[in-house]
Amino acid sequence: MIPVGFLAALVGIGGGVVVVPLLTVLFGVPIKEAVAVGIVTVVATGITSASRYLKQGLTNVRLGLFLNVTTTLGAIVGALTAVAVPSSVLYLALSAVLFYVGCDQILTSKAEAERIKSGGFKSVKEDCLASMLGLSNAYYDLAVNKEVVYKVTRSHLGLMASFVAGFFSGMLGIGGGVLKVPIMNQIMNVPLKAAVATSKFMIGITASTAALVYLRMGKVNTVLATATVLGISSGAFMGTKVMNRVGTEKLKAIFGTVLLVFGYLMLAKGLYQVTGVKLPGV
Amino acid sequence: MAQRILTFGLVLSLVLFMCSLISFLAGLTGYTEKISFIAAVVLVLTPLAMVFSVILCLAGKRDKAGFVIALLVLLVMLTSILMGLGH
Repeated sequence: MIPVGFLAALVGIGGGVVVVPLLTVLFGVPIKEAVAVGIVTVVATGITSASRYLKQGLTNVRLGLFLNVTTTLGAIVGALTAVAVPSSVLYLALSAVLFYVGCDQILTSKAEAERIKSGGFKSVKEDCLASMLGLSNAYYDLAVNKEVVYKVTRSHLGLMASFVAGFFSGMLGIGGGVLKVPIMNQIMNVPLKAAVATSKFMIGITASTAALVYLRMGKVNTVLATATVLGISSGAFMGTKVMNRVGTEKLKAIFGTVLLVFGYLMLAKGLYQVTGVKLPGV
Repeated sequence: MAQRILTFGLVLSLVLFMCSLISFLAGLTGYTEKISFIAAVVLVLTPLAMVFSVILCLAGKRDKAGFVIALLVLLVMLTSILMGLGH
């Protein structure tokens, strides 16, 4: 669990996509129990990382809350309409998006590092909604020893894309960090490190609502959760210590690779549902 | 404020999870489940408490836009909890 927590904190994902298969495949935990424990561990990585990133001044709280409204609404709609659309179609669509975004993250890693050095994130025109709500922010990048000021743009588009991200989360039962980070980074002009930190802040909030429902219904094996939470929290703590010191170029390459892996997993699941062909990792 | 609440909730739940683990190792299995349940409750209630504190903070600062957004987040959270329980 420690490496999972480390990676989750580093790239802004919840980690549930990794924890659930780990518990079922390696430890033989029934899938429903693994999902319930998984959601509690996602809360743990979310809180551990959010707490550390808030202290480091990386999290954009206003932006996180702003996007969380439509993300959670999207998740509710996604969960309610889960039966209307075949999940195989969604898996394949999400896989295509993740492959595209993953490749783009890797290909633009050098360009973002250059933009941070040249102050490119500051020179973008802030849109009126972002200006009205004070969504633009700044953070201190330890890798380049510099304050990075950024102006948030295309807030309307980001809000709509967050709804779609939430819709996918609710429908497919994924945390959504793999979509939230690119939405902030590629649509809204938020540097990757701030996007990762804000995504972790959002994940903690979103996952806690689902975890509360599971707990109230008595579906969480809290004894099993003890081991996973302690392991994943220590990993996440280490990840938050490292993230701001890693160069943006490397971080984008790691994040892009993670997206490609998730893209493959979604493709494998979609293909399995359509054709019955079982690729490795399903 | 938000950071303090998150840290407090996290530390408290981790201490409780540790106590649960110690009770399990000491063979006091009757306590293990109870303590781990309380730890899990503290953990999942922490973000809710954090959003609530942000609302109070923004209200204190008379930040209307921020207050409305944070309030919306809290309402959506409570709605999804109620819908989940109803389901």
